[in-house]
Amino acid sequence: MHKTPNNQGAEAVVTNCIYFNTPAISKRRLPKRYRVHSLDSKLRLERTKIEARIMHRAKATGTNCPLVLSVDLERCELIETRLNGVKLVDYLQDKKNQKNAKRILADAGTQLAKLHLANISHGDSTTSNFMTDGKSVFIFDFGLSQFNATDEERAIDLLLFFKSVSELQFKYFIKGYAAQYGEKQTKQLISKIREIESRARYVER
Amino acid sequence: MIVLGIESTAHTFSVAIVQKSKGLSKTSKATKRAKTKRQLSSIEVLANASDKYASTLEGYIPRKLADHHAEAFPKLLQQALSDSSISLSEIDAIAFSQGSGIGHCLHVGYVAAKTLSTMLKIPLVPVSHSIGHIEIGREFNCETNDPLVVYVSGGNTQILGLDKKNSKYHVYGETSDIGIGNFLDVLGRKLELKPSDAVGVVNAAQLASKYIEMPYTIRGMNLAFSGLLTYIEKKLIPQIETKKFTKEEIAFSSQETAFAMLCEAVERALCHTNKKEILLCGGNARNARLQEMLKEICREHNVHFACTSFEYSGDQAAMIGLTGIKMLESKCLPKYEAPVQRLRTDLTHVCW
Repeated sequence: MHKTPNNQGAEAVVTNCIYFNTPAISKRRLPKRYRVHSLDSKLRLERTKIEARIMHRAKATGTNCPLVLSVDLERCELIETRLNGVKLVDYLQDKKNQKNAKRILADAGTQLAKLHLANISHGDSTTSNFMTDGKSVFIFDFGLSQFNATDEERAIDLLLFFKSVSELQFKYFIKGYAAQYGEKQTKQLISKIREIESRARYVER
Repeated sequence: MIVLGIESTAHTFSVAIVQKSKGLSKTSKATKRAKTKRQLSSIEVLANASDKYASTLEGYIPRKLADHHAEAFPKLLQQALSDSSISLSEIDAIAFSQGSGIGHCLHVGYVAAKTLSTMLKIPLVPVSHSIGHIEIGREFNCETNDPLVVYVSGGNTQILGLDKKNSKYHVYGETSDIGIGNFLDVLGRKLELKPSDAVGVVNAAQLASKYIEMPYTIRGMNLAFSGLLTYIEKKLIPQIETKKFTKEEIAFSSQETAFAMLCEAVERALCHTNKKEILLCGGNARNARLQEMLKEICREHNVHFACTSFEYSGDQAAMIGLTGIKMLESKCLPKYEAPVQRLRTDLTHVCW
C-alpha cells in the first residue's frame, strides 16, 4: 500500500493510499495517551467496528457513501474508496457554484433522508462531511453514527446541518430531504428541533 | 483606576479590590524584569477576601447560602479594605456578579453592591460570572490573546473561543445537562466521601487504578453527564456492599470517564478552530488530572497550555473586579443591572 498524509483529524489520521490499484483512503484511529488504556482501546475498537458496519448498511440501502474495502481491528484502521470532488462547505463558498447549489443541497437532503429511512443517524452531519463533484453528493465520516436512530437523533442531524448553513440553504436542503422522507414526518422532526434547542442550558424558553 | 468587586453566585461570597495602574509601559525596567504574564499585567489584585459556605451531605440550600452571604459581607468588606489599605473614598467603581447563579445568592450580592455604589455615588458595573473566570485567565496566564477556553466549574462546562466579528464568546461545545463540577460534587455526596464534594472524589480517585466500564456520552462537541451519574447511582453504588467495587474505584473510573469525554470534545474543537493555545479556567481547573490530560493534548498538537492559578480558579471577586475594569475602560456595559439567573456566556459583549 502506498500512502501520503492527508489530514490529521481530532479522532483519526486520514491518509490517501492505493488499495489493489483502487484509489483509497486509510482512516486510522491512533491511541490517545490522555485517557486510561482500557477505555481508549475499547472506544477505538468499538468505533471502528460500528463505522464499518454502518457504512456497509448505508451502502446497501442506496445512500451515496464510500465503500469499505478493508477493516483492520488490531490497528483500528478502515480502508475506504476515495471520493472525488470538494467538501460541500467549500463548494458553497465558491461563487461560481451558486446556480448549482440549490440542486446540490437538495441532493444532500435526499442522501441524509435515505440514511434516516434506514434507521441510521449520522451524528456529525455538518457541511464538512458531505462531498460533491458538482453532479452528485456523497456522505462520509460515519465516526459518530448509530444504528436504531430515534426521531431525536434524526432531528439532531438536521440541527447540525442547519447550524452549518444559511437559512436559505437549509430551505433547499430540507426540500430534498422532505421529498424522500415524507412531508408530514419531516414537519414532526422540525418541531423536535425546537424542543432540543430549548433544552440547552440557560436558554429563554 | 480602583474597582471593588463583589462575587456571590453560589457557595462563595467574596470581596476584592483590584487596581489598574497607568505607569507600566512596555519598555519600563519592571516589564523587562517580569518573568510571568501576571507580572507583566498592569492590573493588580490588592485584596481578595472570600468565605465559602461549607458543603454538607444535604447539598447547598439557597436560603442558607443567602443567610451566610449576608452575614459574611460586612466582615469581608472590612478585611478587603484593611488588606489593601485603601479607604472606601478611593474606590472608583463597584463591580458585582450579575449571573449566572443561584437567585438568592445573586440578590445578596446585588443589594450589597447597589448600596455601596449609591452611598459612594460611583458607577455600578454588572459583570457576567463566566466572563470573569475567562478574563482573569486571559489576563494573567495566557500567552496569546485568542485561546480556546475550557471553562469547567460546578454549573458550567463549556468550550469557547472569542468571536471577534460579533465581539462575543462563541460556544463550540458544552454540557447539555449538568456541569462537570456538579457531577463530581453530587458523586462525592452519593459515595459519602469526605469532604463530600469534588475534592473528595479527587482524593479517593488517587487511591485506585482499576477502571470500571461506564457510559460514554459525547455527541460532536457536546457532552452529557446526568446519564453517567444515574448509571453510577443505580448500577455501581449498590455493588459496593457486595464488595465487587470499592468507592475509590468508582471515583477513579467516573473521573477518568468524565474527563476523557471533555478532553475528546476539546481536541475536536481544537482541530476545528486551529487555535494556538488552550486556557483552562473555572473551579475544576484546580484538578491535577484534568490539567495533565489537557497538557497531553497540547503536546500532541503543539499548542500552548495555560491554566488559571490555584487562587484564581475557584469563585472569587478578583475576577469580577478585573472584568469590571475592562468593561468600564471599553465602555461595554450591559443594558440592565438586575441579577440574571440564566446569563449565558455567549450573550455578553466582549469588546476589549
